Amino acid sequence: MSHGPRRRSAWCVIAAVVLFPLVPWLLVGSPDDRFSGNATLKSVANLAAFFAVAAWAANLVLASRLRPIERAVGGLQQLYVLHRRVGVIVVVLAATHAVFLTLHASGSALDLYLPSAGWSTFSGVVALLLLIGFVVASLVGRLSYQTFALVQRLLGAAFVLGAFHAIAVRGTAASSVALTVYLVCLTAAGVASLGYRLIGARLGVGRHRYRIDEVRRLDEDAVEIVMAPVARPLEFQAGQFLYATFHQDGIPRESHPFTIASAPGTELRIAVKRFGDFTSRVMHLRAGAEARLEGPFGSFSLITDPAHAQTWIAGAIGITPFLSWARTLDGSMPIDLYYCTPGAEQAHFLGELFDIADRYPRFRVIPIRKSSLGRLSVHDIEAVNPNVSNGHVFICGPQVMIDNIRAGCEARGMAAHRIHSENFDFR
Amino acid sequence: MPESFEVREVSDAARVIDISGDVTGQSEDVLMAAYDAADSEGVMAVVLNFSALDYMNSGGIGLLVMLLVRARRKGQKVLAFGLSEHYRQIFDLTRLDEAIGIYDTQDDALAAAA
Repeated sequence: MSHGPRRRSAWCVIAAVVLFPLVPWLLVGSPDDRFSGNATLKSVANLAAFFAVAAWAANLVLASRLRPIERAVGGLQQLYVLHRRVGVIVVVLAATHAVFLTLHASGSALDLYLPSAGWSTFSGVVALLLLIGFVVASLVGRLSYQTFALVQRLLGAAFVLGAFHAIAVRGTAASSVALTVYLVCLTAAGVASLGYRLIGARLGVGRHRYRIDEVRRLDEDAVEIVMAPVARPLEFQAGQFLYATFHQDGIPRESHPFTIASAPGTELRIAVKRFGDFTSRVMHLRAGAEARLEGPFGSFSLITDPAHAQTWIAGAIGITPFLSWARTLDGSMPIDLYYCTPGAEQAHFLGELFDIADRYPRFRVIPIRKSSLGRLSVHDIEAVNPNVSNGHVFICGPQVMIDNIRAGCEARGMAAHRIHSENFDFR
Repeated sequence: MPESFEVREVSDAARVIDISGDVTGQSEDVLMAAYDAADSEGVMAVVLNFSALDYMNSGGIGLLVMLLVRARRKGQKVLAFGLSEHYRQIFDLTRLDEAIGIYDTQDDALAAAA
């Protein structure tokens, strides 16, 4: 199934989870009483609160990165897009709850925001403040990994407080026992997801232990890391990626995504390019260190179609999924791999790819140097393969490259299901 | 054998690059320098002469495609002649013959270029 239908299905499931409280809420009490005069304000406020807790819990389940959920949504990239949008909905619903409750309370509204209102009420105020703090922090600028991790923990605490508020505050239980049970179950799911992410990672739950066997320096700014499993190996398909945490002094215990560059069934390899503080530290990784791997993720998979020539386009370190694919080839498919790098010195894997192409002549490797050739276009690809539109095109690299190639393919009437891309922006 | 790429001016609109020795991934600088020398104003066809080719591998194939991209950006045709039976098969297997016209002789190639 392509990403579109999966995304729509995911939204339907989330909408059902979020809107379900309406059912028990409507089953008890008279709508006429709830939506008459000043009571309407409180009804809107209450419903917004129930929806907010449900959406927040669903969002924590999404953030667990559990593989069945990732697959159901259509990939981690789609999952994070969904996660961000549901997060915005949570903030809007929580703000709606506060605004309508304030309007309903009118002159005595301030009392709702003070500790004297009682913990069941004040916990909601604290949750709202933490949520607003997160929004402000997000708007101020790009958060560092450490700040982001801290914010996630605070948001976890905010969720617990918010859910406690929604369940314990006078009125919820009174309106419907079924509603209370539903919110308790959702809260439990949210807390379990949160625990899996925050505590499970430290305990190694859902992680695979590997030992670093070799760190091959490709140049000053790139290394290839060769790893072997210490216990249960990670099973993956060529082109997938994983999250890795390295256990070595001087390297932060942060979990970052890397595409697997090796073929399934052999030792595991990833290529790391220096992009920021963390990857700069990884340049100093040594053999013997331990790695904890989570995954695999992603659906950027090789499509077997010997009848039509495929086009693979890699931008710099975006070569890694294609490297994994190339290392699994059997030579039956005609393939053109465009390996786009700033200059010759960044084409670290060209020699190995040429070796593979020597074994399988239907696999052509075409180096494209930005320094001498500029950017690759679909016009260039068409000059080499006039039938490019009949095959599949796979792109992995910077977003601007993906956008340019995709636009060029679409302008030629190429079917969307034949254009596949993977970028690293969400990572 | 070290590669050599000599450029001949055969007409206002065509240049012949005489290729000898080995064409591998290491030949990029010399091949591109030969193309730069061949690529002058009014040139509409670049003809590759493989009569003295000793050896070509996948690296060489990749460089030929790179040359093809550069030439097509300028609206130039890329043609070839002098290929041995073995390398004709390689051109067929690697689909190079879909984008590069293959001819028996220089005259045939130049006639097609006109």
